[in-house]
Amino acid sequence: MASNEDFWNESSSSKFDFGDDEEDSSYTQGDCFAANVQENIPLQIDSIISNKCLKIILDETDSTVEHVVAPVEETIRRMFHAENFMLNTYRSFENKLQLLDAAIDIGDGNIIITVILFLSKTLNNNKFFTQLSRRKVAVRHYANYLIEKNSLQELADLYMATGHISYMKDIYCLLSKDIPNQNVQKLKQFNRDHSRELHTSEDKTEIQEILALLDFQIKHKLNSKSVIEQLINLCRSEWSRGNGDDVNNFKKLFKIDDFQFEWVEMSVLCKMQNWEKLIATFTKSVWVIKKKRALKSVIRPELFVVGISRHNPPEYVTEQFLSCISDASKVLYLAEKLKIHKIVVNYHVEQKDKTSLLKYMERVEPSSPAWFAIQSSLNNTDIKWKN
Amino acid sequence: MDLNRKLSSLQEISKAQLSKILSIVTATKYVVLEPSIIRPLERVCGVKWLKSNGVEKIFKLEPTCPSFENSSVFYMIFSNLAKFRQVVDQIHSQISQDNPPKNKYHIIVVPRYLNYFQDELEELGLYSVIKLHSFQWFPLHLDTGILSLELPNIYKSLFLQLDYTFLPLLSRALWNLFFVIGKPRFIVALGEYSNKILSQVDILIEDKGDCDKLDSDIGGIVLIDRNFDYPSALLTPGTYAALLNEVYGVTCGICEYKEESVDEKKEDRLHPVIKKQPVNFMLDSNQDLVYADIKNRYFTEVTSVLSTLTKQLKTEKVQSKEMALDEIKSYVQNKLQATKSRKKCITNHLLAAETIINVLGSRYETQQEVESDIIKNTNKSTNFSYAEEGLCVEDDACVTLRLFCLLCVTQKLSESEVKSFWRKFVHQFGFSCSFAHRYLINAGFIPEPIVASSSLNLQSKIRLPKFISNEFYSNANRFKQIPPNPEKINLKFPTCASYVFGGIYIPLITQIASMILNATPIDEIKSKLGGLGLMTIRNDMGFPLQRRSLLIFMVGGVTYAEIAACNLLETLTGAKIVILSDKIINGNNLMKEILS
Repeated sequence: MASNEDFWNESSSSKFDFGDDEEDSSYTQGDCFAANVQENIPLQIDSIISNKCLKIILDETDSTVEHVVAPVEETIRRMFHAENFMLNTYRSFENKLQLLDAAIDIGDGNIIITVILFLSKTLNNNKFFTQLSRRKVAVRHYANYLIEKNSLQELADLYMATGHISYMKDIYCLLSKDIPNQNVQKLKQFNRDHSRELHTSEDKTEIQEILALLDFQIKHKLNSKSVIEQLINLCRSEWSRGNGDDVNNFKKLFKIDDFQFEWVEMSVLCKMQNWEKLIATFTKSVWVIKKKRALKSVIRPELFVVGISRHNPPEYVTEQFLSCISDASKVLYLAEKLKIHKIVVNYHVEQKDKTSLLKYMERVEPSSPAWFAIQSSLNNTDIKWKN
Repeated sequence: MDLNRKLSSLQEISKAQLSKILSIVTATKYVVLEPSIIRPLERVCGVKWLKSNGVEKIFKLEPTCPSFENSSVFYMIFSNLAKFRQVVDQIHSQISQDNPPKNKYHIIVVPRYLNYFQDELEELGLYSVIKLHSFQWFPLHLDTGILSLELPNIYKSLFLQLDYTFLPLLSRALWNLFFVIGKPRFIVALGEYSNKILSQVDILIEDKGDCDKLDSDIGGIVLIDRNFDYPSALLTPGTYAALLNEVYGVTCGICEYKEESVDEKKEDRLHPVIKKQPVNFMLDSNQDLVYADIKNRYFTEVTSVLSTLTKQLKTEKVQSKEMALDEIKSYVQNKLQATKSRKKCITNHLLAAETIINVLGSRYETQQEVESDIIKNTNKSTNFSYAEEGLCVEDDACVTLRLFCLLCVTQKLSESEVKSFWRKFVHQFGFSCSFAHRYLINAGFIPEPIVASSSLNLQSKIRLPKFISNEFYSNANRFKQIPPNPEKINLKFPTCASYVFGGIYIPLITQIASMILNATPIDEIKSKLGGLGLMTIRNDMGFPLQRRSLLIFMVGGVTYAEIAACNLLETLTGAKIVILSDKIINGNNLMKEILS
């Protein structure tokens, strides 16, 4: 109705009055509203309320105001010196991030955790995890804290939300550290839920093996700390009964390394003092040379001899395995160390080395069978001594 | 004033701090101590001092709680959430929720309590019932020139968990120490943590105050992170003190081993466990003159020295039988006590030496050969086979893991070798060790596994192990740590610090100290050290050193072998070197933390 476009910008222009319309319209007589027109024009504000009371009402208006907060640096320093501090005054997103970055910068884990906990309570998960994921130090500290508190589900959430998928296996390791049987279900559940995230094949295999070992132990009501320990116990129980099928199945199940497997075999047989089986299992005849036998094992012959010597086998057993070593000097060295006199004496006799033989005689107990053997060799006129 | 006397008197300040905390309660009090805190506390203040400060009874923290009657109770624990919860539970079970006593229960957390400890109390409604106090003792002067904070878990926290929680306490310890010995004018910081500690010390000085001494007792300080020289901790040492620590384990400067009752499970093991002789003595050069003589000697010399001393004792005994009466009287008055204590010392050391030979002897020779090859960078595949075989042959998780870590740091293992070893390791020692894999990655021994298939996870970057850029051999050559002819090194009367490792390797801190004490031009020092990693040098007209004394702060633990190497350098240069660390460690300690 106003032709003037600036009508609304000028407050001094005529007040918009409902009464204006009334004058032009035809509702002037006999209208129930007409009589009230005059009464609906509001009164001036200062006639209904005093200025003082108006001020009270206006002061009450509640708008968010930017509070003046202490500088972030100052609060962090106060925290560093273990003085009183208030974090909940930092409500703006910008301030919160400044706090976090300052905490990381000063290098105090206590402060970092305090700030992170404050952020976790005052930011929604999305924002919280996004910001954390941009700060590796923060993620680490929060993860350490959750591990300390044993809050593994929250830890899983943290890793998933901040893109640390490769760390999921760690949670599995933590879960499996202390296993009463009930937790096996938890482990299996975890595996089902997160198996997609275990992205290296080694991780997958390891976790499957953990579960396999636990299943095996539960099924057979056994309890041992490791695969190898379980193997040892199996060997003991199986071989004392005679058969060994379960042992081989167990080996296949976990794809146990040959060296480890044979070392266990050797050690258990020695411990059980089953020398015949030891010799039968680990030596084979060399088809060209009649009496010679060779070591049938992935273990180096010298190491094998060292291994069996710990269990104090009878001399003939050590001699048997010493003869499998091809390097004569190594044989001599070990024989001297283990006091297998027969081999040392034979060696020196073969070498026609009288001096060495005499020298060795000093280390032999007088009137022992070895001593007599040396004496008889020395007195043997058939031997042409070199020295 | 003699620096050593000063360092030995540091505990007077710790006592003053503790006294202030205890005096909050004026009435009689009881103290409950966590078992592992007892030994260091003994060296800080001792039981007598506690009792003379109003402590009526001292208990050990046990599952069942003793009755405290009406006395106030101070619990003292290391800063660990599980322990804290244990104590809080114990207190909680004793009090009535409706009317809890005030000012009765206190927990002293060493070295400081964390903010989330207070959160725990708040959640349980115990915030005003239990008061928390932080107490950080001054470094303990365990032996001449050896300062140790004797705080547990620092290496694990900093280097395995990559956590900054303990950094402020290390900086506070250094700042405290500066009040007594003054702040040196020449400061070198090597490594991420050393640099952070230095900047935190700056903040403490700025906000809380600086030492008012004009002159420092020490010419310079070198702060260095443990991971700058792992081989010094991983190689088998050859000096007596280091071997004591290897075989028995030394805590707080005390070597103790009690005869254990025959454990059936141990008897059952395939690999026979070697029996150790029981011993109990303090590694203190001032009290034990025999120890002072042999502590840094190469082990082969130790046995001959001990046998000479035994013979001397025997001749003394024979002589004493032929003494006249007045001679006997003078002997008993003056010499008998000394002779008795010397005899006890010698006996202890003989037993210890015997055990060292028994425990290490069987594999020592081969181990030495392999370690020598590793340092010379030869026979890599043989070395690796030895490590893998060791899994079964030694059947000791720490020993085999240690060799593996040494190989990772020096000769570098391929991805397949690492995988192969780890699989066998976990088979041998149990899947409970699996988590150690994460620690090995964090410490930088093995690289983060590469993502095989492309996943939605764009953030997994391939993390190179720290040592690929800091090649071990090029650094070692730059600092001349590897003698060209180890067999020619004199182990009996050593002139080269490599004797601590049988001639094959000189610890890095010794070479750095040597450079500084010999006034190598500062630019050369800067360029050499800069190649190692993050480095800061502050020279406030302090170089060349005005006082021929150096403080070396090793963050993460220091070994007796490194200390011995520095002691030799002291003798050769006439300088004084004080070594400060959070703990005296050996390689097995590090491995135990990785496997925990």
